[in-house]
Amino acid sequence: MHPAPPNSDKNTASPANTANEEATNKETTIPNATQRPFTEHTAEVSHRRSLSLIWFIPFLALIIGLWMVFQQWYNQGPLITLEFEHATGLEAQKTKIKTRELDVGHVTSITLKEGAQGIIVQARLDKHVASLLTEDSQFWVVSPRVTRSGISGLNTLLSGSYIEFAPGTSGQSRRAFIGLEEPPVTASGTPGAHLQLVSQDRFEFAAGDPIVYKGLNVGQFETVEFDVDERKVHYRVFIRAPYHELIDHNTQFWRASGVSVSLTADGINVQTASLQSVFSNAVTFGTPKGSRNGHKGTVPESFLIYSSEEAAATPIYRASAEFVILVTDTVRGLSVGAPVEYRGINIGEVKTINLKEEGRGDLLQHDYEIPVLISLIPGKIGWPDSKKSVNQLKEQIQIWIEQGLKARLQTGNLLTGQLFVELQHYPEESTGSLAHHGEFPIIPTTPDDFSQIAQSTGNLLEKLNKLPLENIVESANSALVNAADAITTLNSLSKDIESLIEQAHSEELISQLNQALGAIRHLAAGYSQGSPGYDEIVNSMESLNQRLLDLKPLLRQLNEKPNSLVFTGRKGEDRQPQASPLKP
Amino acid sequence: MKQNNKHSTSQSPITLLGALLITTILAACSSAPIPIEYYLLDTGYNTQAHSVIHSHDAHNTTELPRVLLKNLTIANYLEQNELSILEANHKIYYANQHLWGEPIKVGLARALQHDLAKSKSALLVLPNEPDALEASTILTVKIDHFSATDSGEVILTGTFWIDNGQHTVRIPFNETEILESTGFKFAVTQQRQLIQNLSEIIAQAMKPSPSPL
Repeated sequence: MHPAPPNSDKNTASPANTANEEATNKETTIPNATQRPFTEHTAEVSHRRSLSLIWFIPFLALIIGLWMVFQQWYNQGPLITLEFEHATGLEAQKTKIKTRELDVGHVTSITLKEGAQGIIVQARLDKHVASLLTEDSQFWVVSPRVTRSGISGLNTLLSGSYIEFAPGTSGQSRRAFIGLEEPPVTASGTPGAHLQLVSQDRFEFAAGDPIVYKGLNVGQFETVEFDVDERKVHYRVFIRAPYHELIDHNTQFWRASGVSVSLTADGINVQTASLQSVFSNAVTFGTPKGSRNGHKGTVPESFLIYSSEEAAATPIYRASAEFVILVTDTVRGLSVGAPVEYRGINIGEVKTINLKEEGRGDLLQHDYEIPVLISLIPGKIGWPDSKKSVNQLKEQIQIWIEQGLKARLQTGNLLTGQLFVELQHYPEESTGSLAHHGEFPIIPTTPDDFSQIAQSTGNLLEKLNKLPLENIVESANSALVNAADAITTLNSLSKDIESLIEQAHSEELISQLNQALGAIRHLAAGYSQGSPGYDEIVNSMESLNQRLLDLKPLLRQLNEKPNSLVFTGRKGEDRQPQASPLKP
Repeated sequence: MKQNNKHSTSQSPITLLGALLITTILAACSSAPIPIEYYLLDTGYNTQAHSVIHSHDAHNTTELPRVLLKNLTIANYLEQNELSILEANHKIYYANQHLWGEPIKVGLARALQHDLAKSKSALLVLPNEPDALEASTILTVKIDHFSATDSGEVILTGTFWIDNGQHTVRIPFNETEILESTGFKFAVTQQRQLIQNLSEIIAQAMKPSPSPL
């Protein structure tokens, strides 16, 4: 009898085995079997199929594998989708995604977008940055880039391009993003304020251009957009904290870059900013002089960019009274915007030159008067900027015109020739009536100072023209011819005198040279070969030579015996040449 | 007075030394003078015949061809007044008491003049003489040795050139005379004889070569 295995699975037992077990259980569950008399039972023995322990190993491996798969799935980061216009520098399984120079993921695949409108990049990020993938997260490709702001991304020349990830802060999770083609000018989350600037001029600024305040770089342009309907350029700018608190309702923006040269009736106005601003296209802001700081809570949606601080400080008046002046002379030097002054005070400006009006003839007519439309602004006089003030101003001007108010063009600057319109009272020339040019009343004109001077000059020239200039010129020519002849004669005479002087000098010089050469020749003849002087010199030299030869023995003797002059001693006789032993 | 006496006594050694010095100098001056003998190579006097050259000899030389002694050079060791003896081992001895009475070059030139005139070969003229430009032949003499030797000989060696305007002839010479007696005066005599020998060689060289016909 074999006991049943303790861990046998009942579910895997067969019905026959179940019956046997029940029989066995009946036997084993008899209480106190040893106490009861043994009753013989015949047990039916059958072989059971048991599960081997070896099968436990693959089972355990399966469980571990499943666990690893689960861990891999559980620990892997989010899979995001990025959309770029092109895949320059991007490679699947190689291009990394970084934030703050830390690898947080990599590109898994790059596919072409449907319609070839771009590329789709699949990237796997680390799990710990999943919470940073929000709606305002930004992605862009970092590669070598040269802009007006500088050079960036040079480190990617060797390492290769990568995708920069700027975590968002909105809290709204997102997995699909549209990548930026250029790095954002302002890092996400930077404290400050975004503003909208508008310019009616050409595209003057680009992303990255600075916004300066009192020489400090406090912000920069982020985007540039052109509104086709308004024909204006909209700039999105960012001003860093705490400088954004300087912006209020009265804040004005104007150009602060380059060198601004303006020719006005006041002369040449040259404005330069700081050196950095000169070479970088910059905009500055502030509250114009004479204005008060506005409320910070009422910042307008957009600000206009003025060309200069002066333009920004100029208030904009809406109400104006238009008049026409008829100019008989030239209007060269008069420009639109030129000031209209009354007793030296700017009260308006020139609106239009050569205002067209049907039935008024054209420029080719002989007595054509050039109509110039000017506007007188009540606000500049100090009146309210209203239509009522305009009517009052028109009435006042009309009264003045009847009393002799006239307009004339004055030269504001002799150097530039810029003109302005001056209103002045001439009571003695009062017209007494008010004419109109079209719908605009006409302010009578009077010639300017230059025109008067020109007229006087013309009269003078006319008188000069009547003078018998031809006779005078002929006489002058005759006198000049005579003078030329006299000068020619004088010139010839001076040449003759000069020649005579030179001849005298040369003859005297030659005479002196001849004398000198004769003296030299005489001197040389005295010492030439065969002459007494030469012989004397030769004899003297020979005599001197002889004396030197005579001194030779003495010198040799002194050399041999220095004291021989005093102590001669007994000097031996000279050796004598001996007779030859072969003598005949 | 006492001081004067002391002063006179102190001067006595100095006076003694001065007297001794003067005595020494006088003793030196009292030594016997050294006899010096001067010699002339050509005296115009026939030393062997003890006769003067006759004047008519000079008259007969006017028609002789002029030969210009353009240059006469002697060895540097001969450019002095002392007579010399050439010794063995390349040594030379200069006599102290036997001197030439005139520069040796002057004596040589004059001796050649006399000898050539005497042989009626040519009239040797010197560059500084008035008729030097009339010479059609130019003679150049270079003397290397002209001295007595310690072997009892007197030698004359050198080279001369004769330029007749057409070609130049170079002739070396090496003359030797036996010194029969001891003494410089005999050596000078033999040296004069060597010059005569040289003049004969020059005269022979200046003679026109015989025509082959």
